[in-house]
Amino acid sequence: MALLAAVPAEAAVSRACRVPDVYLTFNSDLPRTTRLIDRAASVRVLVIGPQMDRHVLPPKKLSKLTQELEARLPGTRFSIVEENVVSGLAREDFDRIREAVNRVQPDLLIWQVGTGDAMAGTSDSSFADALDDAADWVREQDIDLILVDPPFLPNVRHESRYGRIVQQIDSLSDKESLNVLRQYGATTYLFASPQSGARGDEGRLCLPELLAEAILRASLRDLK
Amino acid sequence: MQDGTRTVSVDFWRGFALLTIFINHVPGHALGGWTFRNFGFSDAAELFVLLAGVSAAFAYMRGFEPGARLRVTARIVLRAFQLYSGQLALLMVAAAVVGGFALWTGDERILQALHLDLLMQWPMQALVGAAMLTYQPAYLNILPLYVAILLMAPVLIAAIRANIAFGLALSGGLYLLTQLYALALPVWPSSGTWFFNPFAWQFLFACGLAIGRMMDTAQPAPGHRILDVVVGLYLTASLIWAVLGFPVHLDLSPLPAFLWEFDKTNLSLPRLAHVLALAYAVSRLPLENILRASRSAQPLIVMGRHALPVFCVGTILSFAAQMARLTYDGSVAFDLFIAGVGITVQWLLAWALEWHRSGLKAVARQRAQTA
Repeated sequence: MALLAAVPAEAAVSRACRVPDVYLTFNSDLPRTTRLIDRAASVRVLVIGPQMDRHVLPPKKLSKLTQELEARLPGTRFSIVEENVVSGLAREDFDRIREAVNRVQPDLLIWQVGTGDAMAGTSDSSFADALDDAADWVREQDIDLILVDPPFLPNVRHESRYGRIVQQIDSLSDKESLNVLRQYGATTYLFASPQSGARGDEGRLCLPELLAEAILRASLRDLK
Repeated sequence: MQDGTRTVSVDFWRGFALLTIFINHVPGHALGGWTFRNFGFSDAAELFVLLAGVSAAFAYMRGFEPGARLRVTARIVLRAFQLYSGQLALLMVAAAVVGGFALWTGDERILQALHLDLLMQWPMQALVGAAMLTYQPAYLNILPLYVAILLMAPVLIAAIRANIAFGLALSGGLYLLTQLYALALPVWPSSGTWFFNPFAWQFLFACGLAIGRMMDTAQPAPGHRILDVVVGLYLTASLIWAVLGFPVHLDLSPLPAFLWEFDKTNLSLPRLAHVLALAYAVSRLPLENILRASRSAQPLIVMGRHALPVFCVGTILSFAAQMARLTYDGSVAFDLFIAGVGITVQWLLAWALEWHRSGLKAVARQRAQTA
């Protein structure tokens, strides 16, 4: 409790990545992560999906997400394991997630989901069922879950494919109280915002910062 | 175009596996719901590796005798190098196809989804990783597995040639160690492990070697009524389980997860047992003569005979098909069109290669007669 109480109520998000609070607020708590943060224990994070960093040499890499989290929560050590998946389809990712969870034993799972299904044109019901199954399984393992939907890109003819998948993630998240980092909404905002320094695809580079900020806010909220 | 001494059923099933991989590598394709992975625990990757073992037994095992082992090992390494070159070429062309589409549409997300974005982010690291086979973008992970297995093959071949049970025990021991101690090869410059763990999958290859050895030495295929019943029950149960969409996520802890999970990376036991059960069931059918007599089976047989080039071209076509489906918002008719074009191109390639090979053989025969 003492550690979290010492954290500023709202750590700053850089100007280039600043988005409305709605994009930084989860539907539910992160009980396991909060407990570990409060005890100043280390938190093991499994990230499923594309690399979040860019232009960072792998051998020297301290991932941007680690930096952002440890800047906000200086008393906690975050150990981050990133796993690429093959197809990016929720149904097939789930198989890989089970194997990776058994191997890594994470406290928090961050799953970038939706791009593969948008490309494949997976039906709404099939995508929602796969996501629901996976979320149930992760919950049964007592692991906190954060979904990250795809980023927005302007002037793409087939953008509606991504929009449809994002809608599916949103509606399932509302129904099942899943935590979603709404990257699509955030990057849409950043693209449209005149003061934003992170336009278009560059908005994706804000993801580690937005994630860290949302995790911090969820942890603070849990303790209030 | 048919070699009288060659076992055509191996080529047929390899051709079948190649076409199945082509369809499975176009996620969301209308025919994707009808490939055999939807009706059991294993899929075309297992079939492909098992048949690779059978073919390797035909190609290398008989000649792997004292005095010739070094030469046969060199042939195996040379084959592994061909596959390695194929992997590098595939990576380059796949990056060109997907990268070209990303440039055209402005949609960089597809590069991220297929892990080709690393070529932009860390080009030098990606090139080094590609050369070391540790950089494996999506759908480009089968050939690295095959290269790694071929490099282990001389030991497996020597052991199985000495005694099939000994060879399988040796390979099975490595499989067990892999499952219990999480042996794995890392990927780089991204993080994680190889999608197909060669230390686990080598056991399936060894099973293929054993089957090939038995066929090559005309040993009778194992067959027993009790085994027939057990295999039938297992295939039926897996069919029901898969058709129901794996309705329950079994957790039989503290038993090791490989005994009850369906993990593809480490070839869990249910998947391994399923492909072996399928092989056993097929071995009980008189397929060889039927396939030899059937004209309609010839396209698959010819494709299976030229597996590497057909696989490489099929992989590129599957990337192109993924991009085309995004642009034209794939309907069933469009999916069928894509499948038709892809299969025809692969068949024509195999036919051309077979035609070229028959021509070379005819010339060699003529020269021999003249001499």
